[in-house]
Amino acid sequence: MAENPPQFAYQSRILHWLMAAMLLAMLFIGVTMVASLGDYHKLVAIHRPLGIMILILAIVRLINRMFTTLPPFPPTMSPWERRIASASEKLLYALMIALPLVGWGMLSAGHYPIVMFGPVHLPPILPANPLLYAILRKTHTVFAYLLFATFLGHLSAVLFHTLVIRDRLLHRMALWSFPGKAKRD
Amino acid sequence: MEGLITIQSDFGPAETLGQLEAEINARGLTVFARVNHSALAEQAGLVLWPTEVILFGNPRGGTPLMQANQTIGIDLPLKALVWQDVAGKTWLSYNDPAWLAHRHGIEGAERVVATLSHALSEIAAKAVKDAQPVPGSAAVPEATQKASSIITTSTNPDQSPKTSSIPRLILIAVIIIGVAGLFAYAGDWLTPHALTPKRIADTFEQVNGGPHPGFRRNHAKGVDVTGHFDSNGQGVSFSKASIFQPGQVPVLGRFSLPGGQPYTDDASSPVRGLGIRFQLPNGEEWRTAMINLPVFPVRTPQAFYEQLLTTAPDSATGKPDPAKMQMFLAKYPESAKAFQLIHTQLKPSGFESTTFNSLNAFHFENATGAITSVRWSFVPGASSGPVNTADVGQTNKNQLFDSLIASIHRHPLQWKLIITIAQPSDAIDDATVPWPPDRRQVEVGTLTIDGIESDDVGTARAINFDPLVLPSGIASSDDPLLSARSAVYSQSFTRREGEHKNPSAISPAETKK
Repeated sequence: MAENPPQFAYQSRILHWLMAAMLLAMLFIGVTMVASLGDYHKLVAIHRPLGIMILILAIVRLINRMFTTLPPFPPTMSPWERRIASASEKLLYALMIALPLVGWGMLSAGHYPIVMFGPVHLPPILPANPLLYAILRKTHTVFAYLLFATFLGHLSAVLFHTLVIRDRLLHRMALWSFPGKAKRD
Repeated sequence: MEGLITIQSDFGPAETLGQLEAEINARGLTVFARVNHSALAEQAGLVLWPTEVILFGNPRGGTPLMQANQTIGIDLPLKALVWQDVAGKTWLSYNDPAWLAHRHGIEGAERVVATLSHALSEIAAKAVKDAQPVPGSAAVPEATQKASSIITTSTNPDQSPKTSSIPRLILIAVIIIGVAGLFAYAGDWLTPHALTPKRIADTFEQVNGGPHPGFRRNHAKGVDVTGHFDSNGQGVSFSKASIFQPGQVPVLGRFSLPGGQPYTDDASSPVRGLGIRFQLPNGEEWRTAMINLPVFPVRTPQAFYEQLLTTAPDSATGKPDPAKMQMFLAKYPESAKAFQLIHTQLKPSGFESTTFNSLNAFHFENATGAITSVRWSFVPGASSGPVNTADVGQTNKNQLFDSLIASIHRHPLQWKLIITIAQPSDAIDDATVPWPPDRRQVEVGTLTIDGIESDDVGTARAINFDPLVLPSGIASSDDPLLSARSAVYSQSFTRREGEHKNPSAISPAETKK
């Protein structure tokens, strides 16, 4: 008899943690580089290709999400918690895809070459236009802060369930699946 | 749930049920029935997490209650429910006898109810307990209940787990505030005096009498040009960048004056600027922003910022305070040396006859991976001809630009691209230091400018001549100014792109004259 809570599909858990690391790194690179003089160039050179990698993975993840059955919500989540969790999941997916696209579009509108690495670069996805650039540049920042705030909310909720309610919520997303009976705490 | 006592089990459902039944039997009580709801659900093709109820009791326990009120017979015999939730936890639930008595309006049976409650809590505690019972502990059911997590009980509200959660809540707060604080620290919000691209752009605005919307924060006055670059193939041995393959690439450029004043008099400064964007055949770009100084006056972004502050007009005189400049030069001796060299070499000239220098060093990488440190210059060609600058600024604030416009309309202007190859002893990361004049110089191609347009209509207005937009084969050196220039240019670009721009000093009509 299963003693552990049901988990997300294995590939979903891999995608979750891989993208968690990439997104968190990306948010910190982004906020550091715009305030940096000496490291600006190095960080921008990482920011661009990492953003495109996140875009690709986010699309893979969205497809995986559409074709994977989720484990049910634990009974320790109240109806309003479930609604917030579903809404924030949608928001996270939307931002994971929108942020790189806005960045790409912003560079296109700003007449910048979209350099990945070496001579490899991407084509523009929007026409060059100063006002469009200005709007997208602002949008990029606002979306990034929104993503960070959503991440903090997500982290708070998981920590609260895992540490205070102690319902082993985190186990649902754990990369491992240890056998044996559930130990309290 | 009212009247329901639920405690968590250390075991799975099967073990809990086994222990429960054993404990019931050990106390001389009778198990009347076991109803396995989840097994029944499965038979019906439904899914239910493990849920099983045991009915048990003893006539000597229940009869006195039914004698008091027969309707309590609907809730007897006693029941214990063992269930596992989706998170894998197993729980044991039973009706609180005190609540049952209350439900059926039984009064005066407190002693019977208390005995029943005591027995039930002991049975429940034994059924869910993992560790060997500590002597005496089994007789203290309240303590056992506290050790377990109680979801709901109407009779014991004090046993909520919140008291033991405070340290954990504090831990969560520390983690969240820590992550948010790290983010704020990375974004320099916690260090408001740090030198940032924003602060340098703000300072450019301040020393130029406030922002001039839509204009570059530096090199605000300028004119757009177009043309092409012909490579002679000599650069291939130093850089694999496709621009150095023999052939021609289109060029967009902008001649400019220094400073953030878009309507400044051309005679205000001997400094001339040229930004160029080369569009390489494979879609890559090379952008460069050059001026005509032999060396750059500062070595670091911090020195640049402090030098910029010395150019702020004094509130009393309306002109920069020379004392501030003296203090700056005393603090930065490398800048004092650089300014000496600049003052001896820099002469006012028309754009057409000006040599523009990269100032910062870059790394060229050729096809074999060999790295060469270089600086480059665009040296005016013979076709430029002599330019009379004697009357600059005396009658016309746009004298230099008008002269450039007239020259381009007469014939295309040309500059030779000369790269200077560094020796190991040369300063690569210090733009204030000149390289010795005997360094090897290689002419790698010719820039031809044959079109000119106002900033109001030309494409170059929407181009950021970021010196680190580079093709593969050209890379930044360790010169700290390069990354800082890239960052501040980006800041300036972002600001002006969203602003409504007033007409430029050099109007579209002027460029057609």
